[in-house]
Amino acid sequence: MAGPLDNEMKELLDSFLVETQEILDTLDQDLMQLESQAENFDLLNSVFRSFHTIKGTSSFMGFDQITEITHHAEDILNKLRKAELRVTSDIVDALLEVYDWLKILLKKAQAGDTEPVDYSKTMQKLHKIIHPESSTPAPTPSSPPTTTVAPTTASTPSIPPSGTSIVEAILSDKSFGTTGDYFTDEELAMIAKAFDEINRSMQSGSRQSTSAQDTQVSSQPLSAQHVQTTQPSIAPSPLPSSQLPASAPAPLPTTTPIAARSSEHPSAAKKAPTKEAASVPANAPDDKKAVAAATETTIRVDINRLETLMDLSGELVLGRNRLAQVTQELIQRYENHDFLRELQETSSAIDFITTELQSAIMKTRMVPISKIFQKAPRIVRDLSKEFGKEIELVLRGEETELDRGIIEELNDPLVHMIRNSCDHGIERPEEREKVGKSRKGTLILDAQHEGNHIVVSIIDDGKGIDPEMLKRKALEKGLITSEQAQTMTDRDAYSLIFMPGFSTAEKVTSVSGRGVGMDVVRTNIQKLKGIIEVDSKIGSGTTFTIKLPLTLAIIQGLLVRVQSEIYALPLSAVVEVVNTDLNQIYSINQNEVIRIRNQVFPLIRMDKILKTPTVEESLENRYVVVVGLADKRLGLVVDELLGQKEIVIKSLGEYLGHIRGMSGSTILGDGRVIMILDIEELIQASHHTIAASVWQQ
Amino acid sequence: MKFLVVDDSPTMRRIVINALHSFGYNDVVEASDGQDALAILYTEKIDFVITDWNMPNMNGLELTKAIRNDATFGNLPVLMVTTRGIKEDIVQALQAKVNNYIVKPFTPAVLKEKIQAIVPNA
Repeated sequence: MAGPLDNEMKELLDSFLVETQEILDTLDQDLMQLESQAENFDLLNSVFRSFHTIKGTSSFMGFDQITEITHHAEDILNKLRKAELRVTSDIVDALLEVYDWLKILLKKAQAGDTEPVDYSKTMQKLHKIIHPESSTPAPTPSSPPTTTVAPTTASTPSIPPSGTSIVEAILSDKSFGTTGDYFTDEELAMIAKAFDEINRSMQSGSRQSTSAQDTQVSSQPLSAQHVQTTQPSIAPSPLPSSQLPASAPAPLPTTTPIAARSSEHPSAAKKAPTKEAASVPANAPDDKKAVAAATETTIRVDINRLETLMDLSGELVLGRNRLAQVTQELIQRYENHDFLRELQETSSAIDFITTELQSAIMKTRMVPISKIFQKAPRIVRDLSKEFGKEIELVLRGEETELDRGIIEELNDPLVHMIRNSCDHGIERPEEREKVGKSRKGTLILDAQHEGNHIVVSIIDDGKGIDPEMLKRKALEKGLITSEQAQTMTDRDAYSLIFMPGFSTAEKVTSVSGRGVGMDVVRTNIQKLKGIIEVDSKIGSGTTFTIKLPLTLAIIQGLLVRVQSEIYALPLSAVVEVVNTDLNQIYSINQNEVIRIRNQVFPLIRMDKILKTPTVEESLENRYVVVVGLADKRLGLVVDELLGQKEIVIKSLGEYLGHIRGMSGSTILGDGRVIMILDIEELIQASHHTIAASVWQQ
Repeated sequence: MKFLVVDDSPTMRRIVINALHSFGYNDVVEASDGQDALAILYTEKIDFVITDWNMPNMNGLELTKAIRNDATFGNLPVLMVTTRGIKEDIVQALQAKVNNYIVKPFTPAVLKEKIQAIVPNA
């Protein structure tokens, strides 16, 4: 079997993977909510449905381990729904364990890894919850129990007297199906019969048909029963296949030949086709696939197509800029010509549409930050338990959207910082009480837009960071000299936590204190061209603020002039701009620095670094653009600020390759190509002893 | 024959629809819950409903009851898909007058058999 079936299978697998991932995305949160809202029946149902759906689809896909474990989870949820169990922290723990396994199993499924995992411990927990009385571990069935049928001897259903409806008989029989979890063969026979009865009554309009013959055969074995009332043309099927899939025992021996049976019901056979069949030609247009219009409001799109759109819209922005510039020049040259007015109108219309289009395309790549925030409750819950802390988590601005690529990179740093705050930020309840705080600490995750940036803050009301302690640690580890420690501001001291190899945890715990964490946080934020700031007050808490560009492809740039050349700086990296007297510049260890308010920033004179030909003598007054990346800051001395512009980042291409200090280029409206400065490399260079000397090489 | 496949899981809908296509039933519409399904039933002529049991908003049982109470399509064949052959479920299904039920996971052959058991000429 080649092509089409394989494709169909692949499509199904993709659908399964995506859908299950989506379910898992919210499942852990729902589970934790359940812990505090045990009475929320809608929530309970929704959690039940999540497991239920995964169980159902995985059973088709042949992921037996997923089916098995979700089946057990579903059983527990079902008991909760029927109030046979009450939501406890232990149950939520066990279900979260199932969630963890599902994540692992889904990853394996995605990778095509069929090696089974050993989740027997979790299964035992689940089994204990479902059957608290039994002490022996569960013999874990590899398939849902629907495949097993109770022994036939278990009970004998009361056969309804002749002439009554089987459906009614079943419904009125209080004892029907009260023994065991699953039906006996006799009960199944009656059920099959009952469904047939419903079928017939439907097919013959509203007539309730029950003949003496029907009731008479109702005690006949199921297989005959089933076939008899359906259709002469189909082969003798096994028992109602729904109840008895492949592994079921063979049909009972007393099968009567079909032909004979069906002939007993000429009326049913004749009546059956009429209604349904008649309607077919009337309303069955031969559409290949009619898809319901109302159901889906979202579609999945290959990410590559979005990337292409993004690139094209970038080109369009360039063209728009060029058009605007040319229009402007024409107007200056041939004033007040009617044609030009039209051109100007058209140009501004295109300008407007381009901006809208570009933001619309950008939005297609936007994902709400809740994708990461929603992981926080689980982390906080587990850590509170582990450390015996009481932490209230507050999420704000979860709906704030940012580029998908950025979300992915932001995930690890954020998760790490949440852990950090729980681990060394917020104190134990007793400690908090001692200093007059409430027992419960608060951890706030906040996201909001600020112009073309997103600002994410992690705020705790814990013990704060002691800068002196940080300095001591750094000294002990030989990361700084005692001289440096003395001149260090508090702000600089906070930055120490981002240094590789720096860890303040007294002992290494499972969650933090491995000494790599904050270093990784910084690296990732740097990769995203973001800025991270630490603000802390001993005794009252710490705030980490991360500022990120909304997207990486099109940025707001600050155009600056350095002698005769124009450069662009990503605006997201600009912390502030000051117009300063060059006499304000000091030298420390041969490095130029500038003091702005109470902070000292290293300086780079752009004309020296870039070796731009000097066309004008330095003015006394020049601009210092303070740029930042992650926790680092640097002042760039430039000659003039030319304003803010939307710029599309173009790579320098293979021919030029990588040029130090430049992250790419862009094309201005007048067609000029200008370079975009790479803040990361500039900062690195400035931190390597004397910036200028490094650059001259 | 026009089928309406009702399931909140897109994957499950795909599975059922693939099976239907393989039997030559190409006229299939889908709905993600009972309410969606009813909206379709009011506007399109459907000949056969295959519905999941457990769905948000309106589950398969409620959908079946709503169908049975409707003057125009009250006799519409309904095949209920469930994951469990649990007793009270089946009794409830009978009460709601579904035409039959089928337990996940099922093979296409079983689905076909179930459909033909309800509509022999399909």
